[in-house]
Amino acid sequence: MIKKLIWVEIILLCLTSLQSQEKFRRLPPYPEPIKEWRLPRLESAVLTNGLTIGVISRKNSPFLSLQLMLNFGEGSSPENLPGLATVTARLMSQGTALFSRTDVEDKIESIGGEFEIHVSFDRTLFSLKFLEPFLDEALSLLSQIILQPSFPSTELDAVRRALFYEIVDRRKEADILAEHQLLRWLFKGHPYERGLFNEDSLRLISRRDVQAFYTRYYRPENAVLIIGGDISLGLASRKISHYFNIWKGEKSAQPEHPILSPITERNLGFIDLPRSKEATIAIGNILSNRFASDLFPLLVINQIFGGSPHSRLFMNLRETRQLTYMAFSKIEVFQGGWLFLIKVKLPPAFLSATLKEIDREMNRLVREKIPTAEIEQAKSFLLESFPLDLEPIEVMTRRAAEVLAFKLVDDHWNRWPENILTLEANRIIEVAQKLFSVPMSVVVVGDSRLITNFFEEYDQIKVYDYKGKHLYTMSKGEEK
Amino acid sequence: MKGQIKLPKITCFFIALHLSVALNYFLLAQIEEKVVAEPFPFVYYHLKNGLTVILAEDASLPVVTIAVAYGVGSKQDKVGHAGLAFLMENLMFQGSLNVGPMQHFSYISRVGGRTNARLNEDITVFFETIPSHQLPLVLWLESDRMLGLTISEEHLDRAKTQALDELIQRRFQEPFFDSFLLFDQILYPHFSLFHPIFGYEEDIISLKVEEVRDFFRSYYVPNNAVLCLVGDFNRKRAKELIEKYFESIPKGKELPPEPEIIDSFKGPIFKIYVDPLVPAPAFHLAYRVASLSSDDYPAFKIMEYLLLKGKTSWLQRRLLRREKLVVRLDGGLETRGRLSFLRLFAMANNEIMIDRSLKAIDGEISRLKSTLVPLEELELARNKYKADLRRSLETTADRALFLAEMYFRCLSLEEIARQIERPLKVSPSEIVGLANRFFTDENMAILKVRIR
Repeated sequence: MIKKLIWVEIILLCLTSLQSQEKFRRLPPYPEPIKEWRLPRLESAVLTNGLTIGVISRKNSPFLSLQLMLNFGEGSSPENLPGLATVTARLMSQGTALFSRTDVEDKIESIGGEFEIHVSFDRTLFSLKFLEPFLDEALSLLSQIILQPSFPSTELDAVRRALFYEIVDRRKEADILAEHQLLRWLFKGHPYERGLFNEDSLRLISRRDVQAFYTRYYRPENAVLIIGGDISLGLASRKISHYFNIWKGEKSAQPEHPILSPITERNLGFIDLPRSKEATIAIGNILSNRFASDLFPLLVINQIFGGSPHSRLFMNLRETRQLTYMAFSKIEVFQGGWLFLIKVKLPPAFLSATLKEIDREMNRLVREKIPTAEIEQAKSFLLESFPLDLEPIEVMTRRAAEVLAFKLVDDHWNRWPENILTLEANRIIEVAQKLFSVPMSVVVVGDSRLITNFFEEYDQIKVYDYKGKHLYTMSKGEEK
Repeated sequence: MKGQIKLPKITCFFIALHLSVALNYFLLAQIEEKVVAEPFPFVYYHLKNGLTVILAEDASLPVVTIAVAYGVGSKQDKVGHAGLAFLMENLMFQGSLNVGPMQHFSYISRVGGRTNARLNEDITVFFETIPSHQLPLVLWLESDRMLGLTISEEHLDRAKTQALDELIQRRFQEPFFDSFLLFDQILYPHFSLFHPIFGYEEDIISLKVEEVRDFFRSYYVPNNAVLCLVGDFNRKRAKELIEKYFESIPKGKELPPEPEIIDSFKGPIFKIYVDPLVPAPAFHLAYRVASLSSDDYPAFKIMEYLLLKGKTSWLQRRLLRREKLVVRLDGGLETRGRLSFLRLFAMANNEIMIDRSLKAIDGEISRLKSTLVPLEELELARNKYKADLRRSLETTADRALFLAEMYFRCLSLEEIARQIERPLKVSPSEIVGLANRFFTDENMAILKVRIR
């Protein structure tokens, strides 16, 4: 009996020890319950001069992020002077009524600051991140830059030169070449086309043009000034008022953002980049933004299609078929419309097979019912990963500035989780079918000696240079 | 004796075993926890197997970062094995007991998280930032590879290919790569310190499975590691999970002895290196300064900001902005082993500018040695240092990495706040004194890089 007991004991002990080692290690664990979480509160007010101000709070942040977002960008540059919006914004920090360029640089460093200027097609952003005790110094400096720029002539040359080298440098990057060529088609005839300016127009920009542009557009009613960090709206209002109340508003200078429309025929383009070992593809079109409520379903669709390494595009092209190095898609929101863009990098030999697979995936998105499980997974991903993007204070503040500038506080920011969570599968499928039934244009960048199969597959391919000049059109079977 | 049950010895043994298991669980609940308030609140404790755990709660966003750092770096690479620590970093993503090759990335990205690894001379750290409710997943993944990494010929070949690709990329990205390696050899006479972190191509290719396994068994053990968890979590629950996944990982053997490193440096050293592939002439310059553990080191931290860091620093202001002698200027303090240097690299348009730059640097160093730094200049340097410090603690990942590094660098975790705040208390007279003591010919090395 005792012997039996001993054996039972030994077996039980072995089993328990084996199981405790193996059972929980063998498979990935379940997540913990999700805690209820809301986006940080975004508060706003409008000063008497028309300047919208906002605060997005984060307790104990050692930095404050001050961001001035203006609702115009390169799309507002005159037709004959593309690049003027960028030159103006950059020149503003190169000297003010009180400070020289080096004074400005010194002042930024003295407050532990980081200063950035970004001009896109429809927005201009001045961003200053600094140590929390220096709010007055930061506002004083930013108000000097925005309200009293001196546009020194000597610095205009330096700004143009720096921009020239940036443009030339960007030409080495295949994905920028591809994206810009695609945008040239999509923005053709639209003011946003000016955002694709090249170095040729820079020398035409004079100090007088800069001053005129500044006077016309830099108005408080075109701007949103937001502070992110450990600060209340009351304090922020008082401080911003103190430094920005002399900014005079004039209702006449409203920038225009005509509606972008999807292009109705598929373009195929190629740019030769000798010695490039890989091929780069940009594919896309404008998606109609007639119904703002389509945006949330669209974000889910993008997640399903190509938003992450677990989306269809990456899983199919890279993981299953091993055709590409990377394959992603994204949605960009402009005031004039939404842009859908796919970017792929791959070995040149797999170009044709990859393009066919992308076409197949696009058809699948429009024609086949998206499984509910896939939709739910995409929604979870969007909801759960969003807070990770908000960790750096300047990123959170910039998101909030965009929401304020687009006047989306109530519908978009405050209802963000609900807007995703309550989306039903039918609504997502309906939006996919509605928006994605447009032909997608394709630009390929690579070494023409390595991309032979591409030229043999398609009827007509337009060949461009780095600046977007159409060189010639290749027809099927034609010798290069 | 009548009325008493006499149990056989073996049964007594099992009863004792059960009791001891129960006692262990009881003791687990009683783990001694130490609280540190600065520079941000955290607690730390040790598991039975020697693993140190640091927990820093921050509920501002539903995000957590876990960093698992091992006290092993390129310093442990032996002659002929340069790049082993780097290869090991790569292998840690090639699969473990219950995780397939590259699945680590896939598990993390599927939940919207990010993962990466870093390696320096002293430590290797793996870190993940994820939505906070996915904490069990990341603990499972990290514990699985600590418990048993898969190291087969196939895995090793894959890791070698990736390591070699990265090595080629680094070389491609920095046109002065070879001159940097040569200057490393000039400053650090010992192989453990001067060989490149990414190793040598021929060494990586020749590494054998058994050598890699030995390296893993020696250094990738709980008693040579720290687990830092920062972000939004419930401390009690996090401790339960950490104990569940890590407590049963066996403690490793005693760590191999640290390599004996000759850490002498004798200047002045002037050398010229000809490299026809570089785009322009350049130079490397370094002064040996007080070692990291010395009380004098914080003053050099401030001198680094005064002289080199940011557009307002003396050298940037003079060489780049005012006299436009150079087109590239970067550098800072660097510590390997017990040797610390203030080193810089500059590229100019021609040889004349190189000579003028060296004279200008000499002029600025002389100014530092002969006059008290004006208080407003000192305040500027302090603010730049403070901003960089705060920046390095901004996100959960920043803080987890900071704690991991400090754990291996500081004598005790309670010391962190004092150590990082000390540069803010450095006085102008301290700077003059130390500049005169350390910025001498005996502590200086220069390597000029010429095109031909």
